[in-house]
Amino acid sequence: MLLLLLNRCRVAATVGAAALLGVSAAGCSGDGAEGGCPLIAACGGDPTGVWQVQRACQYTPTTPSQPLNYQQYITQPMDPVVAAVQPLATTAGDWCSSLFYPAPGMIVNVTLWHGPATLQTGTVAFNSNPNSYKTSLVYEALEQSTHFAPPCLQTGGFAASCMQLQTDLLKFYTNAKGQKYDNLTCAQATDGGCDCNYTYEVDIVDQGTWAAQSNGTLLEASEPSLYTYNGIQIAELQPTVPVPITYCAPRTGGLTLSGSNGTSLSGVLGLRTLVLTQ
Amino acid sequence: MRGLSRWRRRLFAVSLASASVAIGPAVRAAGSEATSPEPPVAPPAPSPVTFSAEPPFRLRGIPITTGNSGWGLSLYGFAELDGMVDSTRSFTEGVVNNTLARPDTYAGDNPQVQGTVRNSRLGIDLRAPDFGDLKMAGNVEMDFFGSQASASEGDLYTNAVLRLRHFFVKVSSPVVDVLAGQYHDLYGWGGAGFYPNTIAFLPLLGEIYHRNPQLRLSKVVGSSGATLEVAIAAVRPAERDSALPDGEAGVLFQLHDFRGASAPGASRPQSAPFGVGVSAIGRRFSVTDFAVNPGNEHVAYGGGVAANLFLPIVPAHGADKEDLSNAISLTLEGSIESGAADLYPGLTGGVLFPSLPNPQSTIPVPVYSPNVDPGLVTYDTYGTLRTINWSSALANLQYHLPFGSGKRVWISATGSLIRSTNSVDVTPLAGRSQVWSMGNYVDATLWLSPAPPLLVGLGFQTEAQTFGDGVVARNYRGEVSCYFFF
Repeated sequence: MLLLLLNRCRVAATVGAAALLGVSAAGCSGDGAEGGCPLIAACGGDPTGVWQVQRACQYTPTTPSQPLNYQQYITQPMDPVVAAVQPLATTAGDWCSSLFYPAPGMIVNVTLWHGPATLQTGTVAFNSNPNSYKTSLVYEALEQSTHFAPPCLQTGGFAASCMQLQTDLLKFYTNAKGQKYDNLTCAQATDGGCDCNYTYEVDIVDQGTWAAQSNGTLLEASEPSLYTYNGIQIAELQPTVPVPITYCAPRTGGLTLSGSNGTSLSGVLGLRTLVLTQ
Repeated sequence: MRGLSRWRRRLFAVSLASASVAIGPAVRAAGSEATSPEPPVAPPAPSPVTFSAEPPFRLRGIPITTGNSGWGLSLYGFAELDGMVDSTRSFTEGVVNNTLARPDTYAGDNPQVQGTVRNSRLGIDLRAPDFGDLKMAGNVEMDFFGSQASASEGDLYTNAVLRLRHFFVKVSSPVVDVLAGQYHDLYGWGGAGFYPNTIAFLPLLGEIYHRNPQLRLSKVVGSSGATLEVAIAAVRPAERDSALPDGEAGVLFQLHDFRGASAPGASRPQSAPFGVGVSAIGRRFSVTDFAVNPGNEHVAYGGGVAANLFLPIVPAHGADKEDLSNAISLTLEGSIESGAADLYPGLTGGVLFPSLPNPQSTIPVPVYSPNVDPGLVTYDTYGTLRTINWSSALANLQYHLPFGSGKRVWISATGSLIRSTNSVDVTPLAGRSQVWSMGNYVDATLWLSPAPPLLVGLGFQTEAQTFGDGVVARNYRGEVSCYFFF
């Protein structure tokens, strides 16, 4: 009885734009960190063609403490990631978002905070002869905001206006590879600091080869040189071994992909299922 | 000393009291979870010096012969076996106020099972011969939750290490009572009969439950029907660098003829008086500057107020008020505090100190070394030292079925809420997904006592916490426990 009560049913993540995706799935599961995404039937079929993402099931993973390695640590600004950046386990994060602003017109470093980005649009193309695939996914974290208190803005020995800060942030991110902060604006905050608002975006492209298996799964082998986040290669995030995917492409149309045994699709941690249409 | 006149004895008692810095509660409540009033302990054999037989100097458990020494000694405690199954991997045996594992993580999505005897307990009551008007008693109480930070999982459960719970002396005089040693904190009137009846290990979410070295002065006034106890205590500071003991104070009112069924924690039921208590704590923090090489100390002050109630809704009856058949009792606790989360064990809400600025990504990474435990204070974006605020409420209800004087079968249920007004606000954006600000807890327990020394409990508990990014984590627990009291 108690065990029955303990069987947890959970509502899965809702992802994607309301118009295009925005679907939620529900399920009961205890197998691994599946985030409530149900397993799909492995009916196999012919997956070739160009498919549009209709809806998805994903959960928001807790990312490890950043940076992932020394190279990422010294990379300024930090490489783009889908999930929110976590501080080291022993601290609560940096109040000034790593802002290094020694002079007007010169932001040397900053890491604008963002929440987990969710899937907005995407396409998946499976080609035959040879068997290649290309997955393109657009993730966004909408209505994000970072507050810079006056002490953070004054560490350079001058008091930047919010307009100046906005200009310099735009300049900083324009010159930084792999950064997409859209609609960035900064406005005066009640404490004399600045509130900067923006949309955070990550465009993921995963390309490689695929092979169908007899048990209704296919293997996607990602090509490292073609795996990019906002156009730059991030070796730490790409799949290192072929990803087994349960798929179903019935003759009635549509294609469903789901990472087998709790794996994530295209190396995007938390992306468990894609429902596609042509 | 025996030759001292009554006047001189009183003068000695007054001197002892005035030499004390602070005041404390009573031996009566010591180890109340394990307290058993039945069968009453036989008075010790006659000796040249007479003992006081009334509480709080009554010996519990099994009396130990001490010959004609004049001392009273008894051994008490219980052997306990607990089995619990959780829907997450958030906790060890005690749920307490720890942070739940977030959903969509392995710890948050997968179950665990534990078996443990570590909550078993041993206690010794000591009573010295009276010295004139002075009555002296002591208590030593231990369980098996000793610190084993580096132990393997197998060693943790099977090679349990003793932990000191209580070790104190209580001196009662006509002027004032003095308690010196480690005992329940006065804040929340710990051990005074306000703990909820539950199979879950105390504390529950949002419950004040803490022991501390302390020096307590108390005075009980009133008749046998109603008493008022006033107490103050100097307690080990939460931060030794504060250079000042914490101060606690409380008032407890009890009606001894208005009694109800009481079983604090997991214990055998007994009759206990209606009680209402109010208590407070005040403390100082002196925290190192937020820098790699600290400059000035930063000072902040914390404190809290708590109110407790034990209300017999359907009181105990019978000539001795020991028939608990159909008795219903309500226990309430409410508290509001700032910078006193340590008195709710495990409670930090996930609040840590911020990272030191490192905009140039220098290596080694600059590290701030705080001189205070986490979850009490932190630095905000302006570099101001802020105490963490929490408020909580807890209610427990127990109903005793009419079998065996209401001491054979009973049920209990608990609900609690806890909320912080600033745990998220004082955390940088990047860390807010690891910080929670609201929690709730519900449990239910069925108790069976086939024989007075035996007790079996079957319980269900659920707890939820809301993190700073809106994510809600929840744990479900089923628990079975068996106790043998002595």
